[in-house]
Amino acid sequence: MLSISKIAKRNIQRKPLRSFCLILTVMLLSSFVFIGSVLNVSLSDGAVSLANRLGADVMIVPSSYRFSQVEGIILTGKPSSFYLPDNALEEVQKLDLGIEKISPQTFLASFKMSCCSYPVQLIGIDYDSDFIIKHWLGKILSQKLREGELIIGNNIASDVGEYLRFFGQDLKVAGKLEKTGMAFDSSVFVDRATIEKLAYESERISAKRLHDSSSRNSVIMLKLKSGHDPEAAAMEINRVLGSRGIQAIFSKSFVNNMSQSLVFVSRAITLSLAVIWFLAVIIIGLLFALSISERRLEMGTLRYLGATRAKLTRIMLSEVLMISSYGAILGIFLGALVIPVINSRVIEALRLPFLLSSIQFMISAAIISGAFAILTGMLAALIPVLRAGRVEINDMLSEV
Amino acid sequence: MTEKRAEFHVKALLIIRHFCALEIFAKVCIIELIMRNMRNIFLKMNLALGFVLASIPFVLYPVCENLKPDGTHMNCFYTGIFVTAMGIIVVILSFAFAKKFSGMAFVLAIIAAALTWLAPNGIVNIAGENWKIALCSVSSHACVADTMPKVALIASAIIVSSFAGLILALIKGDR
Repeated sequence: MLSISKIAKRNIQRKPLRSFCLILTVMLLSSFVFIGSVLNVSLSDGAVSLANRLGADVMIVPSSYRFSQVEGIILTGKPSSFYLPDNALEEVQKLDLGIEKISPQTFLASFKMSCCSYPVQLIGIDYDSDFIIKHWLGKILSQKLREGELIIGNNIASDVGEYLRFFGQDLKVAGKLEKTGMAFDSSVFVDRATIEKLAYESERISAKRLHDSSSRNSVIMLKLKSGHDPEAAAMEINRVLGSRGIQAIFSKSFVNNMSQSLVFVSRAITLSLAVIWFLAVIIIGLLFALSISERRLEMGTLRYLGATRAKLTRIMLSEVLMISSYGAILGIFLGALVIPVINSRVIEALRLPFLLSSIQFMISAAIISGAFAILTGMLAALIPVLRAGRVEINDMLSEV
Repeated sequence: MTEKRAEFHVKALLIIRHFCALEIFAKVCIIELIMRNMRNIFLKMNLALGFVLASIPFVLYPVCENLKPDGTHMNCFYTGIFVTAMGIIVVILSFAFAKKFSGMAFVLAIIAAALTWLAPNGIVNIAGENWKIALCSVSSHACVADTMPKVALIASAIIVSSFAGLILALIKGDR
């Protein structure tokens, strides 16, 4: 005897092209919802990570660097070497800004040559005065970062204990950072003594001086005492030292700028999801309405043979449920393949911090997206199915 | 004497060519026969795309041929072997499921094709003691500039074709 599910299955098999289009529509809807939700949350997590990790109130960079360039270095990690004028650190320290902590960092780009394992951004930190990176390193490094050792970002393909070569120097990997969603994932951290040595080797190999001045400070990070306004401090530095080739950036402006872009991207994703959902509802609804009008004779015959209206409705709803389930499962499978690919492209394309969501969130997102796609399929087909169930046998047979 | 020898060489070459042509013809006939037995257009597409994928790293768009200063192969050489192996797997899957049309062939083909992109880009880590599936860090190297974009293109085509085949398999069932 044919059960409801068997009849539904046979109906699906009888019209392969229509079923193919319906499954494809639900599949695309399900994958877009899954990818969209993971993208939204990952971008939001990236912004939170950025805000948490930019521990400085004010960042001092060379004035030749525009805001967008510094933003680019922090987010995309394009290796760059740039330096502040001589005595910049001392001159900032002299100002009455209410400085609690001050620490310089040195940025050095490695070469695409055999002297270097990777073309990456090398960041030299002053381990004694540092108040940003040391805080993250504390979790992975039990002792002070020593000369000849390095800490690698999460994207660098190497492990603790291995050696990496930069400017002909073999340096031991002492630790690997957790994923940050920023350029730090593709950066390498060393102490001041090591970066000085690497800078010297870089000049020797390229036979070119890195900078006209003898300064090796690229960025100065400032943390102000409680009650001092970072924006006012940045303005004061720009007023006094602006003519010396120094510019101060108020760190929160980074986060504010990111938040605005994030809201825009998030709205764009939500809007496209709404459009896709609307289109999916229309396509599924129309295809089912057409299919039901084509099958009036079949339904009339079934009713004539004794099938109740409820049974007819159940057969059609099982058909929708099967199609929607197939589409939802395939859509999640597609989404799971696409997410790792877009992960690496988002930072480059959107210039926004991107921290891929946890596996638990992704599983929940996959289940919810699948359920949403199945419900959409059922909802879209509900009106034509209910209308078909209400029609009388005579009407069905006489129309044909 | 030398003329006769030259004539003999020409004849020998012609015979070899005929044999080669016959061999190619026979192979084409075998493939054609197998393809005729395949009940699904997407399996046929996977078979053709699998062949192309397998031949990219060492025939069509070869990976970097230079050795490292210590005489060992660069990572992209192992990536080439891996991509070729995945291409062969796609071909074998198409043959294996030629008669009994099943969604499993497509699921496995999707995974194999996806791995050809995910592993070299470090998203799925596949490495041994002295080897690793990865690409060169220099963007101008052949593996990054030529091989990988073509691999990504063919892998995407396999994924699209396999998804379509998978939908059809779900509709028709394991028949």
